[in-house]
Amino acid sequence: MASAGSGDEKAAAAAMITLISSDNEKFEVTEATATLSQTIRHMIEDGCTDGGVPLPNVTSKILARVIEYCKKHATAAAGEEGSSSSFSDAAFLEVDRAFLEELEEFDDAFLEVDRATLFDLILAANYLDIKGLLNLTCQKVADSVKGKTPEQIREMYNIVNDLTPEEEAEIRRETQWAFE
Amino acid sequence: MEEYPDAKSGAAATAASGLPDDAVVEILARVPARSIHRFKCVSKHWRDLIADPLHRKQLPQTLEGFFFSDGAGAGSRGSFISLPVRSAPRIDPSFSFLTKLPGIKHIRLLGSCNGLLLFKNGWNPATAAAPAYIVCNPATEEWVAVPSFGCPCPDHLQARTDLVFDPAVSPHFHLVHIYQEDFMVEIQVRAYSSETRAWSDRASQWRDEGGWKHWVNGGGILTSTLGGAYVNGMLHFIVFVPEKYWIAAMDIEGKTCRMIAWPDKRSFPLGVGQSQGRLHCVGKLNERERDCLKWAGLSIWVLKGYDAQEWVLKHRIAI
Repeated sequence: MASAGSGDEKAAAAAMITLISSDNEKFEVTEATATLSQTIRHMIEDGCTDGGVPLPNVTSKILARVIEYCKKHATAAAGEEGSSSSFSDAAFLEVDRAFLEELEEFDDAFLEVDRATLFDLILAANYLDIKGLLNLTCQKVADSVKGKTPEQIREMYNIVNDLTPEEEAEIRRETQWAFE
Repeated sequence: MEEYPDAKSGAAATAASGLPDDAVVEILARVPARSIHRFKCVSKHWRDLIADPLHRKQLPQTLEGFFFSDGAGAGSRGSFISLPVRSAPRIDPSFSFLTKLPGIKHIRLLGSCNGLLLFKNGWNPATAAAPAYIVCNPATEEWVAVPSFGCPCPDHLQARTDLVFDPAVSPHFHLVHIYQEDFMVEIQVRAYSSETRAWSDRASQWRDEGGWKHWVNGGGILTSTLGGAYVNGMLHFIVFVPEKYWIAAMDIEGKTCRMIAWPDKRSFPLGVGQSQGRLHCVGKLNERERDCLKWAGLSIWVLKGYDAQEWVLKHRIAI
């Protein structure tokens, strides 16, 4: 595990990518970290990352969090590749299991943010096309809204109900079972 | 409330405090169907977002019950099992609105696609003028008769008919009749369009594309009873080469074809299906007991990455 990790780092050390946030802060990341984003992966493939990748939709505060996520999960991806080639090795499996648990703890801690930050992370994950992060953040919001009433949703998200009473009654009549 | 003074202003027209619709759909795709139906009452924007046919496919579907056919040939009209937790079904599970029609006898459920059902009408010389197929919406009891494409009782090695309907693309449906006249010969395709009310007048044949020729020459045969599915604009059904199953994907004209390997080598295919816009396959798991194979369970796989053919095991159930 340790040797595989340092080997990858050495290989990736040559390829560093500079990400530039909307407030002009620069972040140096390895290619392995950056390519968790499909958007950046495509930019690298097209050879247009020289001089840095401007991300006008992402603030430095959010970009720092996104990079934190990508670093952790890029290591996880490298670890998975390493373990699959030697899956018969019980010691490797043990390390792998411990690592997955650690990753889960990381994800849980990562999601301990206020709602505005969570939404910004969703926007960034959507824009950068980072599947794992989009799944993680959307699932967090989904868990918080499921089982809620329409009134609670409006309150949570400051949504004005612009349905007429007739329209609302019609929806309730059509799908009465959902309100039981 | 002060920050969102007017629901009609640009900023507040998104479903939730600045999240784009794509992201809201991503979130809704992860909540139970019951919640989604309740959320239609949140606002006009949420109602329209949830009702949009483009999103509907991504969202969890409500399940009132199952239509099923035991596949036991002519008498099997199909049945409906309603789920006990729901209110009484608003459909007529005996399909009496069809069976009371003149010339309709022994209808057999062949399949379904996005809310429509396809029945085969039992053919006999006395009712030669009767429709060969019936497509109906069981909720509204609307139905359409479809004639056979000419040759009422072809003596083919294997033949199947699938229904193709996607209300997000077109209000019209297609029937796709796929047949193979004999071993080692091409698979031929004819399509019926409810828009033109006609079958394509010439069968299109697969020859060289998608490794099909190689496959046919290897003794591959079409399966006629295992369920098919319409996903990504392609019809999917199971084909068999000795000792191996594949899922064939083709467009409704039968012009392009693609072979997808059956993901679970330990299971025997029961069919393919569609859920949340993704191709699923259901396999029967067998267990060897002395010299016999015993039915041990079911496995359900979902094709997560369509182009990369990335299958993920969704459920494995022991029976």
